[in-house]
Amino acid sequence: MKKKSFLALILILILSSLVFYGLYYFNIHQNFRDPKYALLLGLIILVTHMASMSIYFSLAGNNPYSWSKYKKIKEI
Amino acid sequence: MKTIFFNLKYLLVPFFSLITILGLLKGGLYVWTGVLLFVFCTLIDTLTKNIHLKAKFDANGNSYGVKYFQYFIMYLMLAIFILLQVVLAWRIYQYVDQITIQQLNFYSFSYFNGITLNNLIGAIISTGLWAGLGIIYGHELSHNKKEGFFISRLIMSLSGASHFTYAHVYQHHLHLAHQDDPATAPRGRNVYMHTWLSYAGQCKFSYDLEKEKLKRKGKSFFSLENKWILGYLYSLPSIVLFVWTGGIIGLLSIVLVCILSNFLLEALNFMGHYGLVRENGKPIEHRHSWDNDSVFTDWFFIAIGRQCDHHVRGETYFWELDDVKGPNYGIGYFTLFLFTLIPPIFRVYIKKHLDNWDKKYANKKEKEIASTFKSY
Repeated sequence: MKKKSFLALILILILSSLVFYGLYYFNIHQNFRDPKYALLLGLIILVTHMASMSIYFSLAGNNPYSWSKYKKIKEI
Repeated sequence: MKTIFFNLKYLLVPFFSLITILGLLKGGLYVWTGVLLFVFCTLIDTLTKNIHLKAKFDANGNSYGVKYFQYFIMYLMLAIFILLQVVLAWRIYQYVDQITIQQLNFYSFSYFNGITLNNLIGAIISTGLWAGLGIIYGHELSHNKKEGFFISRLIMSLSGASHFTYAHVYQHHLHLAHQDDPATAPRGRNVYMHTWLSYAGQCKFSYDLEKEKLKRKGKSFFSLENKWILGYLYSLPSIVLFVWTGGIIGLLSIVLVCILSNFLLEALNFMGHYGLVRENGKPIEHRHSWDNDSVFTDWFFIAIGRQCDHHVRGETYFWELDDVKGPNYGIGYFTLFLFTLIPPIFRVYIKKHLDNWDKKYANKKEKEIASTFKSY
């Protein structure tokens, strides 16, 4: 795994851990049957996923999709 | 009569999806119905692998396909996939509330109220498999320029992959068999790595597209005009439903359903183009895709396996696509899917097909590109 992809993964893990710790700290996970809390939880989870994808795109760039690692020599 | 049979043969997925829903409603061991159907389809696909049919046209050269009927079914599939998720959410609700397991009747329909953990796992796998197979409708409708495109976005959003609709048409169809298309797997990549890279690559395409568009318009990225954000918001009702019914268990369930669905979608992309190469800037031709058109695959996957023709005539309805004598695995998707699950076996299987492609189909430049890869 390239350094930047690895860094993105670490940042995503930190962000997700902070978000889930925050939800746990405020006991939001225990009120999931309240529709308002369910909506809030759903939104937080969705935004966390979108933020994680943005971090991955920004740090890893186009490198993960390059075929060069499957090749003996550079792209023709 | 010919017209009726021609159109009804494409109803396998709607029919099996409804049986899967019935299994989830019935409860008990019946929740595994979706998994059993998948195994049954794999057996039928393998047994009928040598039957290949041509597309049928009447004396005037018109297809027997009835456009309004086929579109009605494709739009109906959105409702069926929503129902599939709602029924699974109901089962999760019962599990989380530890409802006592007992046999009840709803009029003459006998069912098990409550569910065990083992059967809940079966219900999640059944849902994920059939939600994933439903992606074929999201694919077909993505090529529609009217309301079908929006329905495609909604179908794909049920699996958290609404970006697919844009990426498929404006990235995959333009850059096929080149590294600019993340949905094309290069020689040496396995289906598991491909699932992540193809999902992320297509998602990034939609993200970059919207970023550029909004920048040109002088608008903020955080806008409801941002179709990347909007696509994810279409997934919000599913997430809220599962969180409301099951909290953490509900969240884990919808994540598993999405992972399984996207794995099936990317496995189709993987099988459709694995290892094929094209010189950048040169036109896409029949040889840049693999056909999978054995009879069961053709009917079940609404001719999505006729990739060679589809990529040259992208706007053509699925029921008009034909065998164009392009590269062909000679077996159906279900059978090939089993091979892809075990990468070393897939590599052994694909070697003879790629050697044949290099000899019979590739032009001089493509042969040169193909020779630069480390492995099959």
